[in-house]
Amino acid sequence: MKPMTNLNPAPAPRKSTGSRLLSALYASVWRWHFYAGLIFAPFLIILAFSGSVYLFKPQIEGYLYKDMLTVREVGTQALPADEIVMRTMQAYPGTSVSSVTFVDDPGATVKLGAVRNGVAQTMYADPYTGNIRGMLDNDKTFAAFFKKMHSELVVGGTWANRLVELAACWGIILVITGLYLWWPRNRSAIWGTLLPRLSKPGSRQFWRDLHAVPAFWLSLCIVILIATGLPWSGVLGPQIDRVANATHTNYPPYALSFLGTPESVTVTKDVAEDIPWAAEQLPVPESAAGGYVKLTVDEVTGIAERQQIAMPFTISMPQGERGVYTIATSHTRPGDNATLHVDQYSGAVLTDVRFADYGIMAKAITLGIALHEGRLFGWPNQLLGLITCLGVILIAFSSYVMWKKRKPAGKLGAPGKPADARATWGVLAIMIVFGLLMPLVGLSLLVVLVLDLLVIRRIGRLKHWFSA
Amino acid sequence: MKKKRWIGTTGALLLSLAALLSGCTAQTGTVDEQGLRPHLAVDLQLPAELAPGESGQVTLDVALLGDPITAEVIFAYWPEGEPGNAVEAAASSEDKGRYQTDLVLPEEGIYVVRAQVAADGLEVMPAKWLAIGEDAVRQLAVLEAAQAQEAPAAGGGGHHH
Repeated sequence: MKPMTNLNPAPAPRKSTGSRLLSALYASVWRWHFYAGLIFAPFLIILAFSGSVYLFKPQIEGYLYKDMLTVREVGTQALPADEIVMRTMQAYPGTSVSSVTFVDDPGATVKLGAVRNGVAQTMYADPYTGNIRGMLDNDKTFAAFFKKMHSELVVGGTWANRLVELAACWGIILVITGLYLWWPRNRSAIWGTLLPRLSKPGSRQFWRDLHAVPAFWLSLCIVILIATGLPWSGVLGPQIDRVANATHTNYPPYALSFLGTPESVTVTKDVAEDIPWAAEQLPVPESAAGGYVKLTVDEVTGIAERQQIAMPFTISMPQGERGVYTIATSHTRPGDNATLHVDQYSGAVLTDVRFADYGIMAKAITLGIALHEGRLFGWPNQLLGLITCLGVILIAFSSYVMWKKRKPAGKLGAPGKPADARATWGVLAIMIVFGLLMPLVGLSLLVVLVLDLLVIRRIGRLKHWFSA
Repeated sequence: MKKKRWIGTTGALLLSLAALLSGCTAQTGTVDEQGLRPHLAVDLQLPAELAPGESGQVTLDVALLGDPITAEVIFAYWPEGEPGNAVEAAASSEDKGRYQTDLVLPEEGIYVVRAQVAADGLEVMPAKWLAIGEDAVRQLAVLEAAQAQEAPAAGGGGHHH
């Protein structure tokens, strides 16, 4: 059996009670770090890999779908958006166009959000000819695949999504416990803390430093990356939303285009009325006034321009007779964020929420999302995200090698239980605090404790294998 | 003296904190009970019966936050599908918030009658169809039905991540 040596610049065994407690604390934290890493490292690798690819969505999709995203030849005059929509619906029967996205690039196609025979698609129209250059099923794009891998581990569904959230939350705990283990106890220890000792490739020290040193340097980036992803998580996300609402620092009403819209106010009484002369049984009158005429997309584009909405922006069509046009910027600089709802008949701007109107938590979440997706400050943001993702993979891989090198035959190779029970209980108390802050962590702690008490401790071989 | 200075400093700090926190909260501005920001509400009424060459009155009521408001109003009309042939008509007003114009349409057909309205930095442009002649009335029924059916299927929007 290989000895369980500790290569960290850890507290040297001393005789004082304080030092014994510190050693026990170290052992306890190491134990939590080990188990959490063993269980969640595979998920963190998947998240890091899919995230590193998704970061470069604009460049990758720009290359893959170049023919669809660009026109063959830049013309002199673009067709009115309404004509493009009309031609598309005529050319592709069974198509309903739900949105039009305008970009500030004469060489780019116009993006049409559409539903074709019940399938959500994006169609790319040449604004000069009105021809469709290509179309994609929304859930079958390159980015959609990696997005699903990142948020639902490809398999999809609520369970997968919760597992991702659980792994991300434990990722934060791994960073914090890892920092505690990394903390240099010896003041002169620069090597192995700030700089890796790579003189003996393949040794445990080599792999330990490839684990701990990059983990230290990237710890802040990892925590920020995870924290900026949590607001849209399934369990913790709504809790964050609740805090933002309670402190009035959330998004104002109608700030997010996908979260409900008001109704057009011009037609409240008109749409309720049937057109009596439309029924064939009644005599057709000599003249008749109709209802309000819906604004055209081009007229709504004019409103967007007068309201100084920065391109690219998307105009979503009204849903039904009482619906509204929605003008929304998307996937751009967070400071330009704007969502407007426009009465589809009169053109009255019923709501207009800009980034400046957001509460401080909503601003932080919005900036965080942009940072997470690598679009807050251009390519350096993408590069920073990529380095962090690759760092996570390296950290996970090096920990696996370390573990394999240390793992004794017939045992899991987990660090032993600390000698001082106070350390065990103290660290457990800290974990419970994490569990209270992150509900899924709390739930997983309960499961682990129940398993430990009811199964592992009662079966000798399991107890031995887990070093319980 | 010291106590007064302490109270003054604390007060100033609290006021600064309040100012800071108010800058942190979501800004909704002035909104009505439905959460809508101030907007021009309009009611455009076209003549119920009109024959070619006959004069009929178009009226428009404009209100802001429920009160009639003075606005700049320009009426315009054109045959359906021919906005390039728009004819403008001056608006007159006798009561605050109520504007009208006399409309004479030379021949049968479907027309679009629009009011371009601006007031208090806000704008609206409501328009209605007007059909003259039995054929036009039948076509208007088709147009209205087509507009009612135009509503797109939900595009499956949602959070981007």
